[in-house]
Amino acid sequence: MPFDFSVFLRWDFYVFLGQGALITFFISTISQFIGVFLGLILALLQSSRISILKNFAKAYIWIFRGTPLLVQLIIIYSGLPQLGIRFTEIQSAIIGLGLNSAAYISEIFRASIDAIDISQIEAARIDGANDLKAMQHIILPQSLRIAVPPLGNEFIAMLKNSSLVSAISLSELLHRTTLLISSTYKSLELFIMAAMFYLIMTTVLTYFQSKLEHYLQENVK
Amino acid sequence: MNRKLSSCIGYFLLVFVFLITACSSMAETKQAPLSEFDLVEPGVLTIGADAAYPPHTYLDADTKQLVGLDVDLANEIGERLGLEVKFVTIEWKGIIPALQAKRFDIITAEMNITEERKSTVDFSDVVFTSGHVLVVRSDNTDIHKPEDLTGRIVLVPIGTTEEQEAKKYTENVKTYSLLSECFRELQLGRGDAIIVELSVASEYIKKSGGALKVVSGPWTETQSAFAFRKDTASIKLREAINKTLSEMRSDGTYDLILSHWIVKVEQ
Repeated sequence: MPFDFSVFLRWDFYVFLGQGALITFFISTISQFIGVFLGLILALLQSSRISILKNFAKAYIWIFRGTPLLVQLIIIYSGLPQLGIRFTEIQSAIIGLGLNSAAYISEIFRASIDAIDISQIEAARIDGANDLKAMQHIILPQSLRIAVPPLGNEFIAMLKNSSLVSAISLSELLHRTTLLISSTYKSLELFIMAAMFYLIMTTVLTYFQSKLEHYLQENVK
Repeated sequence: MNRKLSSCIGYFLLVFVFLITACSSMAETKQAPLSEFDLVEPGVLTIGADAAYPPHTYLDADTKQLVGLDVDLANEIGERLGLEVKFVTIEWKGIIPALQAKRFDIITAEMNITEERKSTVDFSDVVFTSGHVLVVRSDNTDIHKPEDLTGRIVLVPIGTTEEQEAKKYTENVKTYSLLSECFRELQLGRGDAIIVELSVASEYIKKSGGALKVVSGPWTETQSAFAFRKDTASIKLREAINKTLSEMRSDGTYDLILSHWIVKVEQ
């Protein structure tokens, strides 16, 4: 099985895989937005003093972190229709990835909120601020800055995990690669090609992450 | 709080609310059944396929269209029933749940009929008969029949009838998610033999350029067929497809399509 360099000259392969990469990027980005938003809410619920809210958040994280993503996706795509709830492939993928990553992201936020020194809240209280105000103006801005690097990790992990959506008939990057391999038998060459697309996407993400880190360093004090 | 930060969070909120609304407004409403068959999409026969299984259903690397024996058969059936044919590609592990969730009407005929599967899906009449054979490297001289596999490493795709077959003869079974991976690993020397269906083996042997060969004749008989949901609405469709299949067999169309795709392997 000699290494076949001519595969890398097939412009049509780049187009075909590139379309898959766009699907991967699109669903990962939207899901990440949902994950960050829900994750923040869950983290706040977890640090709340009302036990129902706290337990709700704990249960949510327990379920979504404790079961495989593949199972969650198949339940959303193929299980819910039996209850009369029907989402398209794209919607199922975004909901599944978004709800799943929210569980992980909420732990990131919880850790970064805990990282802020308790004395700051006490100081805020002395200044007459209530707990909500202290959270909004003092704790959250600082913890967001701490949360950015692990959030970047989470986003990159999501980009790669999203290949599971091929089990709900979304033809993303990795699935398109295996389709091409099945008919051309050029596995090493095509996997390298797929790896290049993943690297391009993660490079773009890493760039924006460092920009965001820099911005928060300068502007959020 | 920083002004930009709060607008940022507000933006997240907006996107989220927008998505929820979009999801609920776009969630498909139940479609009215068509007069004759109760199809997922009226007038269209929607078929689920893994599309990684030449020569049955696979992607043509040049045209990026699905091609293969099953595709030609399905198109012919669709034409005779007056239905448009649409393929949905989905990975093997998600194919049965998606069939049950009415994501498509039938599964392409790459699924082998087993008693176990019969409890979850209904099958059409047998579309295709084949059998398991052994593929080894061309320089191999001591494996000729399945009994020779004792103590040897056998490579098979996971969750298949091939895997069950391999376990009867050896304890060293290595499973992969794709058949193409088994062939690659065999060529790299990470195993001694592959168990595969004869109809599928020929395609890979051709591409290997003489590095691999088929030993042994088929020692089993495998039957593959279109798979249907177990519900009353699917019975009518199954009967119509069975009737069309037998018409195609008697007028020669079936053999014509078959001979186009299946290459005889020299024993």
